[in-house]
Amino acid sequence: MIFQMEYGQVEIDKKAIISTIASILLETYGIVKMEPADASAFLKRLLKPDNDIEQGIKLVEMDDERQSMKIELYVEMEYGSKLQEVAKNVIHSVSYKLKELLGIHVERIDVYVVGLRMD
Amino acid sequence: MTKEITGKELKYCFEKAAEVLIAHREELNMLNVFPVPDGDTGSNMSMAMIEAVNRLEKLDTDDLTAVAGAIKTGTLMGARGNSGVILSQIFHGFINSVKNKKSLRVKDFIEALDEGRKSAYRAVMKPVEGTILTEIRLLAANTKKNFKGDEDFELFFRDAVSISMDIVQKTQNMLPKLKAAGVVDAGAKGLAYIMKGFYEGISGKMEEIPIHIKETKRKKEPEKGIAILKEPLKFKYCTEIMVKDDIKNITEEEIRTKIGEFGDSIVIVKAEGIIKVHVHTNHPGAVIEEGVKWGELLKTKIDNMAVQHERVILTENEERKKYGIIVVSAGKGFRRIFEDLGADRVINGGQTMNPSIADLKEALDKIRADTVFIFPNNENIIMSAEQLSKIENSKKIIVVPTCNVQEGIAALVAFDKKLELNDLLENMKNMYKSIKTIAVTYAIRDSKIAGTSVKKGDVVSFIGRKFFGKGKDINDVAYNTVSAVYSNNFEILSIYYGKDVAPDKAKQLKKRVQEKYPAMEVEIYDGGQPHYYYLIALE
Repeated sequence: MIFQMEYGQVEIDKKAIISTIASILLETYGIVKMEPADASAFLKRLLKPDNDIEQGIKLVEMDDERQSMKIELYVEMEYGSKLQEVAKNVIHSVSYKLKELLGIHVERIDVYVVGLRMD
Repeated sequence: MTKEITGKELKYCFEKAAEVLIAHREELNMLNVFPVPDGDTGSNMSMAMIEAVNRLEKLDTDDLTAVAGAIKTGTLMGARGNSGVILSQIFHGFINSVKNKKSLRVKDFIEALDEGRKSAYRAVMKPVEGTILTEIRLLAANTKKNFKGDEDFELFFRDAVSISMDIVQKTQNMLPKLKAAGVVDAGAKGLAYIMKGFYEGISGKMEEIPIHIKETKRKKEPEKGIAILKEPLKFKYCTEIMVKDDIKNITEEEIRTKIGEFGDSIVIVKAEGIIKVHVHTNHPGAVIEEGVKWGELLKTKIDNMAVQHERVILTENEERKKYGIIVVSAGKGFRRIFEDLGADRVINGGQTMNPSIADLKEALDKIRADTVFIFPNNENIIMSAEQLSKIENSKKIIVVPTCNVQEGIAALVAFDKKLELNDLLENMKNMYKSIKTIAVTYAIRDSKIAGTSVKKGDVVSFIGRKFFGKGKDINDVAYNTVSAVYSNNFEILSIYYGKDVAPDKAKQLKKRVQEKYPAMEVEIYDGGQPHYYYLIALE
């Protein structure tokens, strides 16, 4: 994500954005785990099992022109909580905090609930 | 002396708790700064409680298991927002612990609180302290420490309220966000009010429990059920003022003492050079006068709570319509146009100022109709509207995904309330999909759009969402863009000029287009929209 300033530009790397989102998700109520977003994340997890929040975050599209992006999140929630509402809170919280912390406008966040913890 | 509570008492106490919480809803909304400062914690928690009370009212038994089930399902179904979800999670654990018992002793209640804590902590990877989570954790731990398990419930709840309010005070120092805003955590305080409701329910007293937060004394016998709105209002006006804190350094305590003379339900927030005060009073003028002494007034809001109350009854008696319409648009002109076209509510919003779901919900609640259509008129707002339609179950919501106001107008022109739903939607869709839209605006910074470099301040135009071209004069750009779009199929061209465009300028554009394309009917309207010089639709 590149921001044009008067005397130069600021670039925020994908990795930095992903770790920011990870730290937000860590404290977002209702999410108990992240699941691999795609095959490559799945493979990465086999090699490095402790990297388990970032694996579930996928930046689908970044638009430097409009300083906006689309995000996919692959999450596991607690069985017995209100899933839609948790997902709504996640979307709300991530979009608000990315705007606040990094100045990035999130155009769309899709939350995929790929698991429920039942114990 | 109550050593045991049964389903009957649990039900009554829970209803009382809902009543106390709802009475403090606005105050909690004001406190809400974490995790997202959207001022809805009080409302969200109340909704979870209300849904459970609704279910309790429908029960024809006082059996503990049935009461427990109604509370659990109700708080789950009614859960809104973060605080609502956490609250439902607490009750989930709490109820699972008591549901198979015939009656509860203090010991069981403490154990249930601890189950509530476990359940609440389980659903988050990294629990944030200084929130409602801390409240339930310390409440469970401290009551366990203070009670053996066979004491009087009145004593127990009395202590539980004291403990809760103590914890509430501590949240401020645990979470930097709260400290910076000078507030305590709204969710934690909400839970403390719920405990207060339990105490009032069991003791039948509304006496003040020695706590550190000042509240006005109310002496009144408890009533059964939720009776907030029926109570005569002691203070009539809900008054809020925002003052720039730059003249003298007045402390919060001084403000509280001063404002305390005028009324109750006081909330004071002092942060970043601004003082925010919320109070229920009979003398809103005096409050404002007081505010002027501290600094420059930024904002004031006075609501007559008695009228709000009457309005609730009024809308209930109003005739229910088949279809209702909510439109999102910016500009006075567009508001008038949409109202003329039959919109029940026009919400101010658009590019760079998206209304929140709460705004949409507020508009929705004011419409008495079975089915409500929302015309978001902006891509970003479509998503909010769709989210609302998913969570709302009081009315059927249909989001007509119009991406700009021109499409919204086209769709509403085709709105014929006599039609059946499917035909109506089909008609509207055909109409707004068939039009071409043009937007003429200005570049806010130097950049490159679709291979063309644009300087800050350049006039640029878009066809639909696609960039078309740039120029210096708004009429030239608009004219060229229209020429590029024009074909014989179009019969009507509507030009909505923005608040920064003189009517004469728009008339010149109309004349120019009309001369070039005499077969087309050209109309100009005062849209009054910000950001866009012209919004144009070809039909």
